[in-house]
Formats: sequence, structure tokens, C-alpha cells
Amino acid sequence: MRPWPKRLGALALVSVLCGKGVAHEGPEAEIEEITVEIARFGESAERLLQRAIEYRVLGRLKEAANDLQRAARLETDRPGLRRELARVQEGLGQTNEALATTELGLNLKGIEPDERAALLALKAGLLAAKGKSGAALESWTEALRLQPENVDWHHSRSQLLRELARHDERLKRLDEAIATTGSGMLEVERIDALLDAGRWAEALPRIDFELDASRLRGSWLLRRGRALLGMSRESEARKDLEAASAEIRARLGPGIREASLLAEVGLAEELLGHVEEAKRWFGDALAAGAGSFVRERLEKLKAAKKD
Amino acid sequence: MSPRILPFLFGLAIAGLASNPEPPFSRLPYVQSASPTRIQVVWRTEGPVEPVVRFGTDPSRLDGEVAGSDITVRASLGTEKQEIPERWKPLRTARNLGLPKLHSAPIGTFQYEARVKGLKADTTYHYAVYDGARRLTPADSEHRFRTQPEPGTRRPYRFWVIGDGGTGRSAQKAVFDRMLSAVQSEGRPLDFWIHVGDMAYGTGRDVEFQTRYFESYAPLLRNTVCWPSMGNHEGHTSKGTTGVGPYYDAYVVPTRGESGGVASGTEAYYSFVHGNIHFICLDSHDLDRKPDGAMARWLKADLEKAKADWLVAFWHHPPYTKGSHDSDKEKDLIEMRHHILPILEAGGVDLVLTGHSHVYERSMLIDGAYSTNATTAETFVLDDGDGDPAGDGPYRKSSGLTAHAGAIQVVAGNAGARLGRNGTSPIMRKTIVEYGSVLVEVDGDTLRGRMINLNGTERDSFALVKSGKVPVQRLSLPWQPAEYKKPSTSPKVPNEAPLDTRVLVASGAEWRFRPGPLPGGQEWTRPGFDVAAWKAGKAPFGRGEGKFATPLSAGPAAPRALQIRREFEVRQADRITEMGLWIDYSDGFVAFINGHEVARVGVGRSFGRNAQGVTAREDAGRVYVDLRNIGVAVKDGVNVLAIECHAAGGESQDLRLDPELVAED
Repeated sequence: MRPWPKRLGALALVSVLCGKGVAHEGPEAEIEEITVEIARFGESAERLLQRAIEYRVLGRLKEAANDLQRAARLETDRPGLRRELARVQEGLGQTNEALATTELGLNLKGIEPDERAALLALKAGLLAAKGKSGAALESWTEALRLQPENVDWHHSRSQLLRELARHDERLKRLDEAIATTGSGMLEVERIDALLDAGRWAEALPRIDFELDASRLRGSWLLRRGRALLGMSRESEARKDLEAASAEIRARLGPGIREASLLAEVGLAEELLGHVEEAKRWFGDALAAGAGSFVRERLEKLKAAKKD
Repeated sequence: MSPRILPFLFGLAIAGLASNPEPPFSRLPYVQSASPTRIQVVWRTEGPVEPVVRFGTDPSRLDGEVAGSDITVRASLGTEKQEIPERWKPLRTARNLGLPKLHSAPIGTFQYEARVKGLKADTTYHYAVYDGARRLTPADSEHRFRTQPEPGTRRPYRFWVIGDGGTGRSAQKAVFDRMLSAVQSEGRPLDFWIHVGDMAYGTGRDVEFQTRYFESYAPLLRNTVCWPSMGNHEGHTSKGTTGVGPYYDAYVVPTRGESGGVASGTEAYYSFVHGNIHFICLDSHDLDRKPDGAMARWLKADLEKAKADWLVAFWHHPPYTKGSHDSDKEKDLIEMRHHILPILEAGGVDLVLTGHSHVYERSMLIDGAYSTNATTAETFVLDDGDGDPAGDGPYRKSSGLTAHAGAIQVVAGNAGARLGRNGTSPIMRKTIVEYGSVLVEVDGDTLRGRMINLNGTERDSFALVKSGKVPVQRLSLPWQPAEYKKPSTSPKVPNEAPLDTRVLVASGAEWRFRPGPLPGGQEWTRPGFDVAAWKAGKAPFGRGEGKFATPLSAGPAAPRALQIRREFEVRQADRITEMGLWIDYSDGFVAFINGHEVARVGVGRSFGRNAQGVTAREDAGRVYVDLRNIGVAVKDGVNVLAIECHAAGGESQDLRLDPELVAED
């Protein structure tokens, strides 16, 4: 490294666009800067991509999609552009267009395995959203073949298998995933998979182990209550479920609250037979951002009432 | 003075002399992923070595050894179809091509990650890196590390927090130096440090990591573990979704709970326990932030098991800021607030450290402010004092980890990148638009934070005491910071050159030149163009005010433009982080390397005789202009730099051109 340059003190103002990285002034300023740059130097895929990213950060998805479409026309062989475009199209609710974009990306010649895997994962999510579960599963499996250590994708595939009630396959895949990644979250997912599969006796010792190791016990008391209920040990189950509900409620904060805790209270109440209460908690959980598991439980409860 | 401090102070003395690595190193050894019983020593060489690490508690007797399968080797040898320099071709053996790949390191780079195991907790070890029997690192006290204490150990701890620093500019260096001075004057070393992202501007390329992170912080990296989180600038080239890129090459972090906490199975997010503090690092950049996503589910599982006295979380995008970013407008920031903070606060988090926004902001003791709309303070502030032990007094919480008992938010994005502020966040107690970084100390029931600025001044001090049972109170009308009014005009900020540059074409060098009128095409900017008929002359060129080594003709018919070109040599283009021109000019210029346009100042559009919109330069003197597209334009060997200079027209006839080409590598 050279000594501190003496000329630092003699810096003068310069009107040129300065180094992108160092000038970072927030997305609006970035958009302004890149727009000036495009006016001066013309459109390039990189400039359009960078502007699209800033538009996306601000939630201006239509403008982002427009830039990405133009970028993809300028550099037709760049899979990353297709992936970004498909993500934005997904955000716009344009699932068909997003799927078409991922297909274009996947068909590019010489696509690197990492890029291919990322596009396949995106495609899997899109297919699942369209209810094409079989095709979605194929896509997840192919993505994970290319990237067997991707924890997030293993989790997503497991959730899809849960929705399809393909419990044995879910457990098998999770065993493979845990062996590959060592993820503690996937271990938890596996215990949930055992419960979803009704393999109560198998789940119980694992839950007890986790319960002993936990500072926050509500979620595990809930799981144990569920297992005990499945094993017709109802009074023990009730005790756990009530304790779970109380412990989790005590951890709920004010205002908009934590979605998974709301969902857990809902599940505890459902298992305790408090249907209306459960529906209310599930509704709150959905409002806070909970996903398909809560939606399914709520729909089931609503359907049961109609019956 | 304790023997533990002596080598540390020695380290400080050489901090300012960090240099490009001496061969065979291309990245000096650094320590990663500490635990009570193990640590990783990582380094890079140009070409392969026979890697060995020797270690021990006595620097004169390094009797432990790591070699063979305990060292992971990664290599950059290009793809099979890629043309690579001749000297690296013999290395493209089946064995080497089968090694895990480095994402985009210069061809010929080998990275070694040595797992040092079987260590005693809370113990200082010395280490040396060898190539077979040849020692590569000097026999000094600098190459050392300290293992983590056993989980739950209560003793004073100190760590450094920085964000958005990796610019290679003077502010980054000054922030680092001021922290070192503060630590030195207090005689208490850092236990570790945390980087909240944006450590390698502008796009997290491998060369940017090397110059702007590894070389900048080398004196600290070799003996003190940095726990990183990925910023959006690293996110240009590294992907959390795939765990691939220069960021993931640079760091080794625990994925299987090796340093405490629940195994994440990914380097994108992880946890570790240092004594009685549980740390959680999240990826706020490109992973699913929703509450039923994998990261949030892991976070919940980790919090359930966390049993430390203190809980600290860190990531890049701040849930609350009105600095150079706005947390009420930007999706990434809103989602971290709306989806992730509720989980953390339900888990009892005490301190949240973030960056991204180029400012220092520090909150009151707050809880529950998760709105997706504009953030408000009413009922979300639990203590609206300044938290300063010498002012309103520290914030207070019950002992242990308690849900929704309040947390302090710190935005520490002020370690080097250009500062900015757009407003005032109502939950912030301090907003300081100054370069600096944060020192955090945890001692028993007290956590203390201080922001040290560029002058070494302590600009903020806050403390949190956790003791006994403290009832939670929500303030309906908390203290509010004054509204910030952004100035209608901002002063232009000078474009600063990187610190670590070398000259490729000196000021006053001889060029081939030709006064205008210029041709319309760009052929003259490309290699191979015949300039035999052009004159030779030394810079500065010009007419009008000033002295010129090569005066140009004046008068009403004098040309309004000038072309100059010359060759320069580059040995390894893929090791260049940035190139720039120190240039005095009038009134505008366009620069090309090998026919690629790399800079344009004061010329609106087009070039040559078609150049339009030349504006009169208002200031004077040499300025620094960083060059674009160098990754495409610059090649190994001989390159051509060509510059055309234009006068604005009007009454002034002045034309001036005096360039110097520099490179940061």
C-alpha cells in the first residue's frame, strides 16, 4: 500500500458520475443516477438490471419488469436477467409470464448449474402456485440434484409434500436433506412431518429431547400435546396444550404480532376444541403473514362448520 | 501490563503499514469461525503450496499441526474452454480441476481453509503457515488467535461493529485507525468484530474483497475473527439463494452449530455463542424473509434454544432508518421489520445491529414497532431517555432474555461509504451524519455501546443494564427528535481516489497527439492504429492560462479539440480493483481504453467531430475520475489509452489536458 496520497487534500469537485459503489445514496438517487447514465451512454443490460433492482426495492415492479425485459433483449444469453425478470413478474401476479420467462432462461445454451438450479427453484414455486404440484415437485427435485445443500429449497419441497399429504416421501426426503445439510431447522421440520404423518410414538421421544433443551417451550409443548392427543392420552395432552397456549400468549407482543406464535396459539386452541377461538387466532396469523399451513387449518375449520 | 496485551499492542503499531501480500501469498492468513475448541485459518496463494499450519500456546514452540484432509483446498483455474495464461496451464490437472472452485478469484489462486481442532477454550494460540517445511508467515506475535470461552462464561467482552466501509478510500482507513487508537489507549483488545455488510464496494467482486477488505483490515484479520453478514453490494456477485460468490469464498462461518446455536445448514445465516452472549446473523438481502420461510423458521428454532444472558442480532438492511435509505419505503427493510423483528423481540433480543444506510442512528429502548406503513414511536418506546450513563442513565430491562422487554437498534452504516440523510426516524435517539464505527462492551449485567468518529471522538454512548425485575412501560407520548429538513441544495462531494493505487501512466508522460478537427470514428482509440504521422509531446498539453510542456497553437483558427494516445502495460488485469485518471482538463474529455469508452466528463454525447454538449468547466485543477468498464476494456499485456479533449467554445480558447492513469490492486 502506498503512503497516504498527499493530493487527497487537493480534491476538486467533479461533475462526472462517480464510482457507483461509493456514491450509494438510496434507491431513488440510484435510479436518477442510472437514468442519467443511460441518457449519456445508452442502454446496457447491466444498467437496466441495476435500475430494475432499485425499482424492485421500492416496490415499483412494473418499471422493474420493463427494464428487465429490455435488458433481456440486449443480452439474450444471460440467465440471471431471466431469473430477475421472472421474480418481478411473480411479484406482479403474472405467473404465466413468469413461467414462460423461466423456461426461456432454462433453455439458454451453456447455462451454469447454479443458474439453472436457481431458475428451477423459481419455476417450482410458480408451478406450485398454479396448483401444478407434480410438475413443481419435479422441478424442486431437479434443482436439489444440482444443489443438494440448499436448505431453503429442501424446506420448500417439504412444505409442498405436506400440502400433498405425501408423508412418507416427505420424511424420506427430509432424512436425505438432514444428512446433507445438518440443518437444525430441517430436524424440526422432520418432527412436524412425523406428526403430520400420524407417527405419534416416533415423534414423542424426539419432542421430549427438544423440550428438555429449550428455553422457550411453548412450541414443543404444543407438538407434544398434539402427539399425545394422537395417542389418545387426552388429559396429558390437554395439560400440555393449555401450558403451550399460556406460554406462547405471554410472548406475544403488541400491535401486529408474530405470525408463527399466533398460528401456534390457534393450533393449541383448535386441538383443545375451541374452534371459534382457533379461527380467530388463525385469522390473525394469516394477517401477520403466515402461510399455507395456517390457511389449510382455517379452511378446514370453516368447512367443518358448514358440514 | 499483562502478557496478553503486549502482542496486541505490537499489532497496533504495524496497522498502518498493511501492504499487498508478499508472494506466494495472494491473501494473507486470517482467522474464521471460532469456537471454544476449534478455529479456521484461511489464506490464499498464487499457485499451489503444500499447506501446513502449526500452532501452540508458546510462540517459540508450535507443536500442533494441521495438514492433509483437515485443510480444504479451493482453486481458480478457469473453465475447460476458458483461455488462461500459459504459466497456469500445467496446473490444470484432473486433480486440481476436481477441487472445489473459487467463484471469480484470479486464475492461479489457491485457497486453503485449515481446521485447527482440539483447542482449549478461552486460550491464546500462536500459529504459522507453511509450504511443506518452509515457513511462510513471519515468526512474530501477530499470527495468533484466541478461542472462544465456554458458553455461559461471564467476563468482560468487547467487539467492534462496522458497516458499509469497503470503499478503499480515506474514510475507511481513518475509521479503522481511530478504532485501533481507542482500543490501544484503553489497553483492552477486541474479542472479535462484526461486519454488517457492504465490505467490498462496488459489486463485491473478488478483487474488491481483496483490496478493500482483506488488505485494508489485514492486521486485525490475522488474529481476530470477523463475523460477517452479506450486504447488497456483495449481493451483486454473491447469492444467498445458492451460497455461491466471492462473499461465500471469503468467509467460513458455522453451518452445523460448531460455535453454538442451532445448525443453520447454510452460510447465509448462522448463530454463535461468545461467552454469555448469543449472536444471530441473518441474510436480509436475497432470502425469503416471510415468517414461514426457512430462515425465519431457523431463527425461531435458534431462539428457542438460546440460553445466554444477552442476545444480539445483526444483518444488513435496517428495520428503522432515515439515513441514505428509508425504512418506510424500501421493501427489504420493511420486510425485516414486519416479519423478522416480531420473532426476535418475542425471543428477547437486546441489541440489533445493521448498516446499509450511510449514517449512524441509535434508537431509544423500543419494542413492537412493526408497521408496514410509516414508523411511529407512540406506545413502542419503553424508555425515551438518551441511554447515556453520563446523561439520562442507562436503559433497564429484567435480567435474562425476556420477550418484548425492549431492544436497542443501531444503524452502523458509517464506516466509509459516502454519508447521507433524508429524514428523522421517530424511534431514533441519535442520528449522526459522521464517519465512524461502534465499540460494544458487555460486562456482567451491562452492555455499553460507543460510536467513535473519524477524529477519535466518542459521539454517542449508550448502555443497557439487565438486572432484577423491571416492569415494561409503554410511553404514549415519548420524546421525539427534531424534524430534519434536508437542505434544498447539497454541496457537491469530491470524487475521492482509492488509497492504494499505483501509476500506470505518469503525469508528464510522453504521448502521441494530434490537434483537431477530430475524425468521426473511434478507430484511432483502438490498438494497432497507426500513429506514425502523429507528433510526440509531453503532457500537459494546452493553450491559454498556465504552463504547458506541449503548447498548442492559439488564434481564431486554432483547433477546438485534441487527441492523445499512448500505450501502457498491465501484468494481471484480473487483479485490478479500480482504475482512474488524475486529470486536469478543459473543458471536457472522453477517454477510451482499447477502444472502449471508460470516462466522459463535460461532453454531453457522442465523440470526435460529432461530440455535442461540451460545457465550460467551472472548477480547475486535477480531479480524480474513476474509469468504467475496465473489466471489459483492460487486458493483460499492452493496452492503449486514448483521450480526446474538447474546448467548450464561446470566447474562451482554453484547451488543457494533463492526465495520469492509476490502478488500485
